[in-house]
Amino acid sequence: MTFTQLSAREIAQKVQAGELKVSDMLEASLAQIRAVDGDFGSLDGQPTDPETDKKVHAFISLTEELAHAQAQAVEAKVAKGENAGLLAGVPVSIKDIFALENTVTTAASRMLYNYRAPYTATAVQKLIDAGALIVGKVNLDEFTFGSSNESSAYQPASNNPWNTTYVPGGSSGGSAAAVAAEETPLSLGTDTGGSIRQPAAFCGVVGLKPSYGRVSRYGLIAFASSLDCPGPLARNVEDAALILQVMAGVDERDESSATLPVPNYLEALQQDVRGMRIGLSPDYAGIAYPNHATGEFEVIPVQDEIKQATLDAAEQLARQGAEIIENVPMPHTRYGIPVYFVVSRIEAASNLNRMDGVKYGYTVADARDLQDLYTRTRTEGFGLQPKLRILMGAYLSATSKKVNYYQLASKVRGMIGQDFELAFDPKGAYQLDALLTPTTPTTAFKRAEIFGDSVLMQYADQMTVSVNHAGLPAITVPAGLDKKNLPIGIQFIANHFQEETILRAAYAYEQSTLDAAWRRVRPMALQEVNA
Amino acid sequence: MQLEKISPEAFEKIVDMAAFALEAEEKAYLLEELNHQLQSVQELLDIPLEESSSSSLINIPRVGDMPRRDEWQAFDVPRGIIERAPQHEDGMILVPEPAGGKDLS
Repeated sequence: MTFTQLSAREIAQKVQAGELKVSDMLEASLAQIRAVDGDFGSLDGQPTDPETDKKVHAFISLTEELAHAQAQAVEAKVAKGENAGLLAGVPVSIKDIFALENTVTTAASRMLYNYRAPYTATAVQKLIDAGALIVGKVNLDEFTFGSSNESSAYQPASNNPWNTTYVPGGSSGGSAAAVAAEETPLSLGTDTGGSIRQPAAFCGVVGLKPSYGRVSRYGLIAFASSLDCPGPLARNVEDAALILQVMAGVDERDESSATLPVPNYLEALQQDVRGMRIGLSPDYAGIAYPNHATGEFEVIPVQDEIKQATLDAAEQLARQGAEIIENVPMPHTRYGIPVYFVVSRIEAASNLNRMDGVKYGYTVADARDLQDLYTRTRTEGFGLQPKLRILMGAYLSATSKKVNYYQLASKVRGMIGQDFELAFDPKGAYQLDALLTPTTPTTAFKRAEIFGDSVLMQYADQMTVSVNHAGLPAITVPAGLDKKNLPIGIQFIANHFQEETILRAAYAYEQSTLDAAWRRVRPMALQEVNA
Repeated sequence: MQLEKISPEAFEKIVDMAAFALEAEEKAYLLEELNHQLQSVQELLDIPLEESSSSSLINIPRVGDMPRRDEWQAFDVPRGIIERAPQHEDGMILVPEPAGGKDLS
């Protein structure tokens, strides 16, 4: 086993015990990036590598100098016999949507190509304080607006390490690709409608969306403020618990952060699933998708292999003593995407109004007047997908005389939340501890296969988005490979602030499948590296 | 209730409101996609809702006080923010005059 195949927990333990030099770990991570990543995303997007289509392209920029300084600080603590932190010497990549002081923070947009953040996001600072080494910023859909990474203004966009002709998902596609390609054992992403879980599922890694309020949003460039959630991507459940332990907690700089105490997530993993009530719902068996041509809604069933993997997981957990509750109704799940079209677009349009060429980032030279400055800056600075989201938000806000769309969508959002309340009600008919669902309706799709069809792309999030509407925690874990050797993900959802519950269930499932043949298959992008 | 498609005229208004100047090809794509998305939103209009239906259930349990009192606090290094503006002078952000030189203050 090479250093880059070690888990974050193993790295931190070995570093603290003096068995692994932090500088060696950092060099191993940087060497892996050089070996598999290829050209980093850039605005000119011109490939220099003849093998560029086979590369991962997870990164936009490296922060090597910073990482070396952090490595020295950790080494010094270890040398003095001090506690160097839960993430001592662990290389971590950061989705380029988080502020990192004096580092360019692009949101994968021309609009912020030169924006050097004047402060550091709380979640990132907590990782640094716990001994992590921030090695660089990874690619994403522009301003997080997408589910494939293809909308990034920084090309080449990330590829799926399992097959580089497929997308890694999005918007945290760079994070998922970096973790799957063993460039960093951990990555920090964000999830607004499934943006951690969908790419994690597509790339065969663990992705955790905490409860809204569990992790501070301070320093995160906002997409939809009532939905955005920072969270980790990792190669196993224990590492996801470890990094959540570090990031979770109240932050006086984020009024929406919860003042609840943070439980010990690592200890929670030691509890088994005996007696845990885990639900399956027929409302996660397919997606209801509007056909443009007919105007009718069609139900497209979940890919057979994903459905089977979900049922197999339920059986595994039942064998360990969990009680499986079938036919749990979640009737408002199908409205998750229509609600998201309203809530996320209106909030996004509002948040992106601040990008005007005046305060920071991209601006045009020689503007005739203020309106000319605004118009030319926004026209040149934003890509097509942000423009689409802004226009939808503007339209739905502007037509409020007839229908107040935000209010309407918020009411339906409440009904989605009530589905979960009923399912998790300790005195209700189902009394669930967790709901088990597929994470995505299909495995990863090919590059350019869906890109441009903004509706179909959005419906890829139907299994994940309800969780964001309700503010709940959810985790996706790898559950096999399909016949194309692309990863399958399954999702556990729990009640508010019950991250321990989903971590326990996911860990129990993971441990019971450690010997499965599919776990021995390595991503295509790694087959010639460290073979 | 049937949701109307966005007309080219309404589209021009929102493009202007969003401060974009679009090429014809971009306009065609964006208008088509907006109308496709509205088809999805249509589903919400068909849901029977009671007047009393409560809104979003985002639930942030609190123990004790809010994270802090709702009072503004100055950023430690305000110059660090001002200096990120494309044009600035003497600690102030510079902007061009509004069209026609009207003073909007």
